Amino acid sequence: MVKPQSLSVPMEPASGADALDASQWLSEHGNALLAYASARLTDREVAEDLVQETFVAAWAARNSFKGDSQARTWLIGILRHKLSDHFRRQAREPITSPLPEDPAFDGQFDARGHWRAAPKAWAPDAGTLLENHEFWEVFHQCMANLPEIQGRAFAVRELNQTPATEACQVLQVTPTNLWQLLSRARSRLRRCLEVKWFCNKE
Amino acid sequence: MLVCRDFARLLSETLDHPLEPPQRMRVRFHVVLCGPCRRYGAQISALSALLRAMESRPGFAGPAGPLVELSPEARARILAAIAAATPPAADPETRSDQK
Repeated sequence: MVKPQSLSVPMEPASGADALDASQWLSEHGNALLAYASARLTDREVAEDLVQETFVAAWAARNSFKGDSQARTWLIGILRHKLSDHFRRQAREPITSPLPEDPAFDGQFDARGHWRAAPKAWAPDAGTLLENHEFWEVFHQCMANLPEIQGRAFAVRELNQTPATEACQVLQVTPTNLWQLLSRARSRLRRCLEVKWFCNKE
Repeated sequence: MLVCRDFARLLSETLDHPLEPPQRMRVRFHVVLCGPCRRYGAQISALSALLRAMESRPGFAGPAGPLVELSPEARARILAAIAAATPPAADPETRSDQK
C-alpha cells in the first residue's frame, strides 16, 4: 500500500523531532497494539494494517491527546474503532433471513434435545487463565476454527465488548441472528477448549 | 418444558439481552433439574467473564500474548506512513503548494 519512495520522505530538519517521537511511540506501543489486534482477528496482515492506520490517525490527532500515562489506552481506543470499521466492511450484505442449521451446535443434542455427551468437568485453573499465554494461544486457535461469520460476531461482541444493538449494526444482522450466532460460537469455543485445553491434561 | 438444546441457546442469550420473564423462569427451572446444563452454563459464563476481565485491562495483550511482535518491515512501513501523512509544517518558508 505504501509506495517505496515514501520511505525516503525526509524527516529532518522540518519534522526531525516529530519523527523521533513517532519512532519512540511505535517502540513503546507497537507490539501491544499488534497483540491487541491479532487477538481479535485471524489474519496477521489485517492486524498490521489496522495498527498502521491507528498510528497514522493517532499521529495526526496527537495534539488532542493529553497526558502521557494513558497513551496506551488512548491508542487502544483508536484501534478499537479501526477494528469496528474493519468488521463493518467485512459485513458486505445484511443478513435478514434465518440462518441455516449449525451441525456443530445441533449435533450436541439428540432428537429429543438432550445432550448426547454431557459437558465434562474442567480443571479448576480458571483463576490463573488470564495470565496464561499458552491458554490464549489455544483460545486463538479455537477462535480461528469458528465459521467466519460466527468468529466475527464473537470478536465484535465478546472481544471488543460492543453493546448488542451496535453489534447488530456492525455485523448487519438481525438481533435474532446475532443471538444465534453467538450461542453457536460460544458453544463451539467451549467444546474446543474442553478438548484442547481443559480436558487435555493428565 | 425446556430441553437442553433450548437451554444452551437461551443461556447464551442471557449474556446479550434480558429474557422475557416466562423464558427466564424456564431457564431457571431447567438448570435446577439438569446437572449437565448447570455445568454448561457455568462454563459459558466463566468464559464470558474471562473475556470481560481481559478487555478491562487495556495494556494486556490477551490471545496471542507476547509472541506477537511488529517485524522491522512493518515498523518501517508504519513510520513511512506516518511521515507521508504528516505535512512538513515546521518551517513556513519551505512550505509550498505542491499537492
